[in-house]
Amino acid sequence: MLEPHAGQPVAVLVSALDATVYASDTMETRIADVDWVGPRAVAHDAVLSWASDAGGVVPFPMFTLFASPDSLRAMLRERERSLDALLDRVSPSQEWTVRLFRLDDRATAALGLTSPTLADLAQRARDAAPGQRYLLERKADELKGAELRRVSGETAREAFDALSPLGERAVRDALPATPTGARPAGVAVLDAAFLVRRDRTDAFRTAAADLAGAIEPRGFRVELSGPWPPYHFVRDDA
Amino acid sequence: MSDDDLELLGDDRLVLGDLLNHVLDKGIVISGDVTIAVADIDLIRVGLGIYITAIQSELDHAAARTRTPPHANVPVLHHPSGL
Repeated sequence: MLEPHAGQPVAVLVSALDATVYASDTMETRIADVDWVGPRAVAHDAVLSWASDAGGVVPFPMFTLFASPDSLRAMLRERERSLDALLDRVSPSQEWTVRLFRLDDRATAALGLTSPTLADLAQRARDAAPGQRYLLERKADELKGAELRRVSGETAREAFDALSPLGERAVRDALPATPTGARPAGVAVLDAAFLVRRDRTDAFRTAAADLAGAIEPRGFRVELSGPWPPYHFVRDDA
Repeated sequence: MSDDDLELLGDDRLVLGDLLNHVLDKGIVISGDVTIAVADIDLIRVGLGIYITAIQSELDHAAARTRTPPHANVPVLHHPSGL
């Protein structure tokens, strides 16, 4: 731990590293090594989570390295005011992450409930003569993909809007590329982070559980993780 | 704990992808000559992105083997006391 200013209640959590291990040329190969990066990511998060639980913390990403304690102190002097403001902003809260996944089989089966267009087509097909029924069923099949995407977008917006008021801030991340092939976890349709006051944690978790219950019949699954240090909420635009 | 003592236990990998998404690409970003970027930061991020994609695929398969059916009582996947 490094205390940049005597008497101030702010400190920096630092580790001294072997310059040869973290040198540019060796890092380029090490960062591709799952077994090397993973434990360091766990340790990085454990320290930040401890600090977050203990009061408040402004997280820096992994691999933010300084050449010397003096260069670190220089950065702190330069940014003292903005870092203080950030600490004031985030310390009463913690971060929670909510991800929404579409389970294609279930979501497709639920389209009769979630898609008025397809429900109407299905009704008309049931009432139609065999030849007309075939055409209507083909049309319904062609629309299913678009309707799944539309319902996904609506459900994601609904989830984000339902949880946002319980947080001080909220942000949506870009969705990861969907891998082809088997997708047991479902297709990600929302990846969002919420800065939630510590005294509203229970209310937020209850709201997430209510949301999960509401959208599960539509073929969507909610994944909640937290509390995290405020990783998403310490940038100027967050 | 020395840098070489770090070790990742088996089940922890289930939440590693989520954790990496937080610690690698989020947090306050500083720049300027007081900071040393290890190699080219863009190259690192690209490398880590590939890594995250690879491990996420592995995690998805692991989750498929171990995860109970989804239900309204949302499980919390990460605790601050450690993984």
